Amino acid sequence: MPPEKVLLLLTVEIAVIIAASRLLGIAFRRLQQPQVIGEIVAGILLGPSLLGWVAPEVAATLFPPAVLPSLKVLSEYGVLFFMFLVGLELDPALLRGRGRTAVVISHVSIIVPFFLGALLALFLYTRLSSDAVPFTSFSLFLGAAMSITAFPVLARILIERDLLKTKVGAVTLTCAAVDDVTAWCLLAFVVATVRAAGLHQALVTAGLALLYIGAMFFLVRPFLSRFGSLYENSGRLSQNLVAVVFVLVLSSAAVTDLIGIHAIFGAFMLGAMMPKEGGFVRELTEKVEDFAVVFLLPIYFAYTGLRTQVGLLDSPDLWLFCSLIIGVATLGKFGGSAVAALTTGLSWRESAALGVLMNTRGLMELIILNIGLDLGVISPVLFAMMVLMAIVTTITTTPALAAIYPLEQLRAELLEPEAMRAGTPVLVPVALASSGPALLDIAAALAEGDTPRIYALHLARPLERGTLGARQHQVPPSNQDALGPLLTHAQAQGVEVHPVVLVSRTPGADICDVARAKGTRLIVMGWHKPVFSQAMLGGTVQQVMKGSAADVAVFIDRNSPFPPQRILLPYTGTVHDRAALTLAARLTHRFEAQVTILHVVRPGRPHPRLEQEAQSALIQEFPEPAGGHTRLVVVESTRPAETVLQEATGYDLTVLGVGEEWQLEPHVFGLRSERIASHCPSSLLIVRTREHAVSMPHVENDDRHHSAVSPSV
Amino acid sequence: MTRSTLLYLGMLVLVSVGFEGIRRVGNTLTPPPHIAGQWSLSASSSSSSCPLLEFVEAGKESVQVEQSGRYLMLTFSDIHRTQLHARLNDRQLHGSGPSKVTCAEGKWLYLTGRLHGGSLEIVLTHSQEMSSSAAPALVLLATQTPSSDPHPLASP
Repeated sequence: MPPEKVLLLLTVEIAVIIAASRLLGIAFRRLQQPQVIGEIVAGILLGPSLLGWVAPEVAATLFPPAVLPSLKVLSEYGVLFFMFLVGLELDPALLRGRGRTAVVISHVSIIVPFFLGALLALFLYTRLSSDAVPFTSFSLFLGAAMSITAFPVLARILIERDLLKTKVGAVTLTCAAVDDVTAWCLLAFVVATVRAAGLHQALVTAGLALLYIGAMFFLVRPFLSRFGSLYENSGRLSQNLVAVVFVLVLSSAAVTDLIGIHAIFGAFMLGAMMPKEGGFVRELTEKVEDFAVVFLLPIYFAYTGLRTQVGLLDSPDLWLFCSLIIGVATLGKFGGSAVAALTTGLSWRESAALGVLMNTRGLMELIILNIGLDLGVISPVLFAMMVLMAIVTTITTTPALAAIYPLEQLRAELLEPEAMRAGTPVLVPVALASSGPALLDIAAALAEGDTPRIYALHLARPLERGTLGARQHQVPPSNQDALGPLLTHAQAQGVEVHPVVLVSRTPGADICDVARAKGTRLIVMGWHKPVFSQAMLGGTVQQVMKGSAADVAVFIDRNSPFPPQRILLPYTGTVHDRAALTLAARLTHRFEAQVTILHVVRPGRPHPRLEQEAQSALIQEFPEPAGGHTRLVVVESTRPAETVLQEATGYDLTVLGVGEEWQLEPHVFGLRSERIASHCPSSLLIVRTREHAVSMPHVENDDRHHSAVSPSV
Repeated sequence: MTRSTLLYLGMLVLVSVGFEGIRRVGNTLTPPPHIAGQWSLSASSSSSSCPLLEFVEAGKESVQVEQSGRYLMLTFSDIHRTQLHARLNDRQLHGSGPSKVTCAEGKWLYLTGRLHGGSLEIVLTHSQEMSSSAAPALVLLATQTPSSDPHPLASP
């Protein structure tokens, strides 16, 4: 094939690979799975396991043998720079204070699966290997492949489930970091053993490897620490400095490859040696990651996919071997980690969660498997089985973790001691920093008791990083400031506020979980129009209203005066109206405001029972009217929403319960406009209660007839 | 020394001893012979009006063997790139796959073989009963190409 054709084909191939990788990655993210699993699956689907099977002509045209060497080189650069990033992520600070526990758990979690892998080799050697592979190499490789943990994938899961703040999350991350270093050293040893022609060569390799590690620690590391100082002084990472780093990565990789312990070990070591203080590593990661992870790594997955032939598993006995491999890998990693964690004092739930997390293998497994296949230690069938094992163990992590460590339990663990104090707190989720102060004012006014206790919650979306992120801020910096104005305002007002910032992919469900965990009976939140809906009470607001065990008050700020002096309460007698009445009563008592209860009834057909109930509700909530400014207005109308809009003029705040009569019900895809929510001239507080009482009859539709004003209560 | 450290050290010793034991037992095992790679073919007999394999050029017939222990995938260099799955037991090959020759479309191709030192004798037929004289058979003699690469996608 002429070179220009190779370039064209390679360009098309890469475009297809990146597109497929992104699409599958996003799809898997939607399924609460790590994105990287989607990318790995995309690679496999592009290979003989699917594309080559259903459309062999297309596969042959897209990936002809002439292009494969170029694809291989690109994929190897991808994994090289990825391993450099993994090394960059490795932070010695993780070990401080937890070093020994982590080393014990981590090493046991390597030793046990390694041993079980070697034991399994006895069974598989005569079935899936040949006499060209010595048993020692085969068993060492199988053991090493069983004992790997995917540190980057694990870190992503911990971040996305907000587990980093828990004991189990912190211990797991430390264990994974230790595991990472140990596993790559083990791999270097295994590769050296497999490559060595004899004992003499193995000893030479080991000696050179030790010399290399010593040089990295005592010569390269001090030299690299100057990079950090250089960055701090100039305040930016120049392209010259990036070029020097790249040259060093490639040199280190070349040296380890020459030694005989594989190039990826050199790239990893150089990353690990980089100075972790200051912003140098963060900026370097940002510069390298997008190209390495978005462009090069999918090529690695595709190349792996081209080598993975699931079709080779064409008989029940082979599927049985595959199940056995998955079982042994899980037993070794999960069992070893969990038992070790139990002995170091973690609870059974924490130990089980740690075991599940450590069983995540992800793309790190693919790296070791590709090396094994390149060296000829593992056969194509065993390679396919091990790839399936890597996918299964990674895919099962999130659901297994959710079963062992439900999100509700996790949120409950984040409960602070003050939550046990008397009085129920109010939860204020804040999406936009600017809305914080107004939400705080209304929440403090609606809280029970004289000293309101408020939890201000900000849910940040996880960083859009493909695989890494453990060392990065758990919450993007811009999100950390989201509660800033609210907290400043709280300090000025003397209101006690407990800030909670969590990473979340499902804000609606997480707000409900936090409210439950904090023992909240009221959530006060703002609103924002969902992207694909006309409904103001859609999206997250809708999810919270539907899912929360607490009452929900949505505040729509129209810049009306605060504290409100004139409050309008449209009332038809539903449970939500009743809850709105209770909240309005709190505002009235706190601010001595005047409340007008607007009771809308059907024209010409007075409803004495309804009116009577409105009266009794009023008396119940206002036994001693604050300031004596509470009155009931009865209006006859068949268009209650329009009536409310007309009456609301001249009021500071309108408080009303959700309900069809006000055209206010939370909808996922509301197409009709919520007239009151969007056109009300005063600020608005829309209330939905979880109380499941039988609602009173609703006002029927008809044109507005007349208005009647009853005497003050 | 804490309980966990003791447990850790104990496990380390146990595993080292255990691994050495596994290694010793493993070294006594006999895995299948390595036959992966490219094999040159020469047809020693063929008795059919409908050929079992359609090679383009005489003298350039070959078969690529992809091996995973006992499990083999044979890809012939005929015009249809016929692929047969086979198993290697005690130097004997048994396998099958769909025939791609137009005159035998829908039929199944059966393979038996025997490893003789450095050569491989392969018999192909449409009948599962190899002894059946009614079914046409193609007998091939394969010798391994010295430079054959057992891992087509692997590093050179």
